[in-house]
Amino acid sequence: MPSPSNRRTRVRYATFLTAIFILCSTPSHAQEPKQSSAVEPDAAATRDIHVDEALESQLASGRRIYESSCADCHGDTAKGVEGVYEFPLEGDLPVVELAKYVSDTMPEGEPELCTGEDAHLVSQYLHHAFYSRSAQLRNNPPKIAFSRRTVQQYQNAVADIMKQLKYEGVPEEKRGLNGKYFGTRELYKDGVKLERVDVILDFDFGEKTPAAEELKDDSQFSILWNGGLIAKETGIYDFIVTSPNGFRLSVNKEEYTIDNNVNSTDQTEFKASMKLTGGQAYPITLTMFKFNEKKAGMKLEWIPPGGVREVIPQSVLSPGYYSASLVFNTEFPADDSSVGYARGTAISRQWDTATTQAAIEAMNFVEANLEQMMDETLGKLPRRKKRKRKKEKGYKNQDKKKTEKTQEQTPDSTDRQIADSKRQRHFDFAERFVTIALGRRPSDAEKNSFLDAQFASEANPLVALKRSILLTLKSPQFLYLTQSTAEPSASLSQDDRQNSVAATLSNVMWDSIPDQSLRQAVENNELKDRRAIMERAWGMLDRPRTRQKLSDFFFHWLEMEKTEHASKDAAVYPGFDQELIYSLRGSIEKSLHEIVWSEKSDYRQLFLFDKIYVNTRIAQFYGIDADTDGIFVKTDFESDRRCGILTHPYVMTGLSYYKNTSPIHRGVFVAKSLLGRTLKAPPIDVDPLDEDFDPTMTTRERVAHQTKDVNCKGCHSVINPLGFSLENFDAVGRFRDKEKNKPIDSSTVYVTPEATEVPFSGAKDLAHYLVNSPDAHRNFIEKLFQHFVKQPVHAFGPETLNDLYKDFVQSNYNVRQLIVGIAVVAADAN
Amino acid sequence: MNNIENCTDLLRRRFLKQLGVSAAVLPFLGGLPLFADESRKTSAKNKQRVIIMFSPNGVVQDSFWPKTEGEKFETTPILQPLEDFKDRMLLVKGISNKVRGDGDSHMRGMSCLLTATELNPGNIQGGSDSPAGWASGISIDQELKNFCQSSADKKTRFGSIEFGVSVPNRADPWTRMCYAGNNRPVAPNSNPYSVFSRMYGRSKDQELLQSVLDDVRFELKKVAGRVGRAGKLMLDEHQEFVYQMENDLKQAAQQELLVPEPELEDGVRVNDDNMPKISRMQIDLLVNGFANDMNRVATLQYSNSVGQVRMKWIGVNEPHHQLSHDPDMKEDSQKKLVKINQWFAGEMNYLLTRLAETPDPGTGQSLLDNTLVIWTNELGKGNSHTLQNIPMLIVGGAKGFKTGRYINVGDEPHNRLWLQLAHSFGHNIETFGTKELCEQGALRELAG
Repeated sequence: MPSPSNRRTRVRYATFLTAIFILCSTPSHAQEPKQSSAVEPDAAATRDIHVDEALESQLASGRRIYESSCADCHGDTAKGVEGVYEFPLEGDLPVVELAKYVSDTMPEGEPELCTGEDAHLVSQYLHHAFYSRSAQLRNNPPKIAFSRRTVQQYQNAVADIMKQLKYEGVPEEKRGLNGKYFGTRELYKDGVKLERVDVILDFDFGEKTPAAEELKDDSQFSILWNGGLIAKETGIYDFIVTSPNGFRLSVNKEEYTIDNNVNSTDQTEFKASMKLTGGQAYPITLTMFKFNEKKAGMKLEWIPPGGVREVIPQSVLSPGYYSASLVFNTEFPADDSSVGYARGTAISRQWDTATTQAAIEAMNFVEANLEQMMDETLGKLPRRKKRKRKKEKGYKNQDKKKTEKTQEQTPDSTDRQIADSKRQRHFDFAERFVTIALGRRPSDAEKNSFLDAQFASEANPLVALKRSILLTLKSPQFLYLTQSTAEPSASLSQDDRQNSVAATLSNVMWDSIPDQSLRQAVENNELKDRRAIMERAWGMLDRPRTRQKLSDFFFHWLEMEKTEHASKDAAVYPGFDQELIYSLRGSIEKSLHEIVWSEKSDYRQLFLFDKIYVNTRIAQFYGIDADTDGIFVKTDFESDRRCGILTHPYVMTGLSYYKNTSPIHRGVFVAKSLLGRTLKAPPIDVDPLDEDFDPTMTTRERVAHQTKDVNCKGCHSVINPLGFSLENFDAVGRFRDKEKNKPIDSSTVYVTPEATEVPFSGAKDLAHYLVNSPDAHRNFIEKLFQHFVKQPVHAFGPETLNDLYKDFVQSNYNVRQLIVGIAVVAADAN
Repeated sequence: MNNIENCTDLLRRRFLKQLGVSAAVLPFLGGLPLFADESRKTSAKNKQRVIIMFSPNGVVQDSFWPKTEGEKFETTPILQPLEDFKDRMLLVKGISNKVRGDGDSHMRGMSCLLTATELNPGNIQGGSDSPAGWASGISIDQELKNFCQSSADKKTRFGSIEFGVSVPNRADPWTRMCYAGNNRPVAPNSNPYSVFSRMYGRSKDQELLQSVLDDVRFELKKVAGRVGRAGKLMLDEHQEFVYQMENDLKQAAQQELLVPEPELEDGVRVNDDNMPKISRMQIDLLVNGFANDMNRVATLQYSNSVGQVRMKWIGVNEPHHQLSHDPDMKEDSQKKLVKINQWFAGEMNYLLTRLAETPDPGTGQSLLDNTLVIWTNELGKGNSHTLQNIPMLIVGGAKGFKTGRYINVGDEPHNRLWLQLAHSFGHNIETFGTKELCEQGALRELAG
């Protein structure tokens, strides 16, 4: 291994860390993979860098210590040694903290061999060469990974192809379902007597009609409700209809989701389950009629995934027109999320099978809706012409007609014409399908194999069309996110590049394929430069899919899945149940939504908002005085003690145990999710100390006691202070100032990676730190980038994170603008 | 599928439905055989089958029943299209639907026809009588299906298939004659394409899939040539999966059908005007299903009780039910009603011909030799709404049914006929439907 000093001869630099940032930032790294040992990149990276000679000699000394005392167990490049110490030495503790740790513990068993100055020198070397984030980026520069669509992206894309092949109504601003009321037991028999939008369906009409003035006969009436239903997330939805009358429910044009038109049992409650995809709107129709029953009523409820039974809220109902969506029955294997976000960098046989099954489902969906899809994408066939043809066909055996025909118009040629035009129509439709699926016009070679070859080798146009669909959906062009059709040697044409830009934009923004208007933009040469791309991205921002994607981000970022099925000790927290959890989720989502989709879209507000949304259930449990009346209202909630998401009961509840808080979970969450710090997995499996260990100890005392061992210190010196600062909030997020009759101590000192000590005296201080901390900002940008692009931000150039950060600060931390910025970075990299 | 069921049933059905769809494309996963090979193993044994064919609104009685009883009965106008099958025919007069209770004659005629038991009280009002709901018991076809499915040598993939022709898309006691049990109507499927995909979907899908895999591999290769090293590695791996899938499919394809699936004409719209075409498509599917031993029981329901199809293709422009209300003296209407039933008889003739010309695999006989085809109706006569003398034309072969004759049994509850049918399957139940109507036991006169 060559000595670093050989390569770092001319030296001049201000601070250690910035130098490293530059070191790892040479563009060549981002584009070329480095397979060789970690030392090599140094050579390339430092060609032009001048390092302080004093520092240089310190690093050389540190290196000598490392090689003689550390490398045996940790390996030459600190990647670990099998059977001895297998983990790489990576992290973000400052040099001083590392040195303390080394001094106290290393080498194992003989910590006295390396202390004081030596410990500092070796830590400095380790930090610089391998340990720090910058060293890692420099040694192993990330690059854009070749990827397939993730499961979510695949499902969205296929569902959107179907949507683009049909007419979609303009989404209504209004909420609720459109209701048509009829005075007879049969719909439409006597005309519509009343039409209105019903925001929710929860009616008890008693022995009367819904409207005495319009519907006069108490013994009979009927109602038709229709509109759209927006699924918030993907999963199984239970629909429950309660009515003493005959009714039919159809979700997604299913005939029927529940059919109880004939009412001959005592049963009044009916249930059906259905799998729906998040972010998608489904048509819903419910009809009912009263006849021969004394009473009438209608209640439409559901249990969404992770939710509780509730009347379907108006927020997910819309009175507009919606066409049926493809709902997959195929089970997909989960994507790799080991790096903190779902990505499509690996394939498996299960994945191949699932995408094949799904392609068959899609093909059959097209076949089942073919006539409508053809009419709506290609326009209807002229009717008169058709009838005339039929007539000619019908009379073809009559001699008289035969003789009247001209030679070119023999019956055979007419038949052929009909067949040809049918074939052409199928071909045109297939071409449309391929164009939509690929998000661009197919290249000549693709046209040849996806379309021409299929229709040339198959006499039946329907079969040819189906083959074309199947081939398209199974093709790498569709499954993988590689857009260029050019040979590797050829440079991208302007069209190619714009197609790639469009595909990336739609993937980043919607996890899906380009829509008609985006494809049109490419045709019109409208995505030619960064400015144009940005304009386009802004236009794509406020759509249900983007909103959905951002909601998903928050769900993962705030580790909300931890709260979803939390259970708590009923003796200590009476009344805490699934319904409360679901209400709390509604509450936090409303706040998040309100903040990020406002004009300012200010990231800082996430940690600062001082009013929360409460409904009756939340108000009761937390003793909040609010006039809820069944809906969510925004109200003050201990605003002198709380602020933002950090102290929201939903977050605090998930980061707690059954009975007690968990400062460790909370600390890890703040450190990793909010501050972006690196933490090692615990070296040994440790169960939290039981309360019985010492019933007089507070939670803080117990945690401090259990983690006081020097081996724990490395990480817990970061975790514990962050967690302790939230100790005023119990396991369900209620404020407390005492535990076991001792006052809560939530004052701590947090040490940053730059070794700055930051004192906190509780949650508010921590929140304000997060608002102002560049570490937190960069972390937020990085995580948001990964979620939206499914690639690491550092793969897009060394300055990208910095540039995004500068823009973020300049925009007053505008999240929407950040998303657009991210999309532009990803798209412009094409 | 439009039936009311209680909550758990519905969920169960939904679960099965979902399972069914995913299972439909499973074979290439583990190389599962397409269709159970059991059929071939048991093929030496006699496979008793039954088809119940329904047409609505009663018949013109004089044009249906012959005057002479016994073997030398004359061919009546309605039965004229069935002349060729006269010696395989058992024509039974004197069968009555004696089930009483809620519902008008059309409702009871329909929903009690195969269940032979009362309707539940409910919210559906007919043209007269009290309102009613669904039938309170299982229908004979479903009873026989369950019987067959419960024994290893009679078990088939579907057990029964319910075919419809122009059955309107609404579920009520007029449109449903098959019941899986109390309050559990079974919907017939009137769309031959959807029946086809249920019967042959997976084999068709697999064929299609196989036909494009070569092209998929070609595209993979092409794209692999223009991506980086990591991309190429991934696409090579993908190639391997496609190759494996191709092999699995080839193996699965070797599990052939006994009889290839029928070729259906493309793009026939499912509506009343296309009733003749759809009828033939459904019959072809029905016969094919029997030949491949997918089921032993089938129903073929034309339209529905009070059905209003206008049979323009035979020159009848009035809706069927409306015509059936016209009095006997209105000759023109009676002629048209005869014409309508002649058309149904013609469809039955096609069905019988197809069954007669299709070999019953492994038996040296034809399908018809081991199949009973029963053509019936919800009423005796349209304009009187009588539930007496319901048309019962039985053709084909089964133990306990002596064909080649016309008999009049007087005025017997139809429960007894269904008992006799059950016994011919070896299902020796003592009552079926309303118990009181079964006191005389099975209708043994039919055995001759």
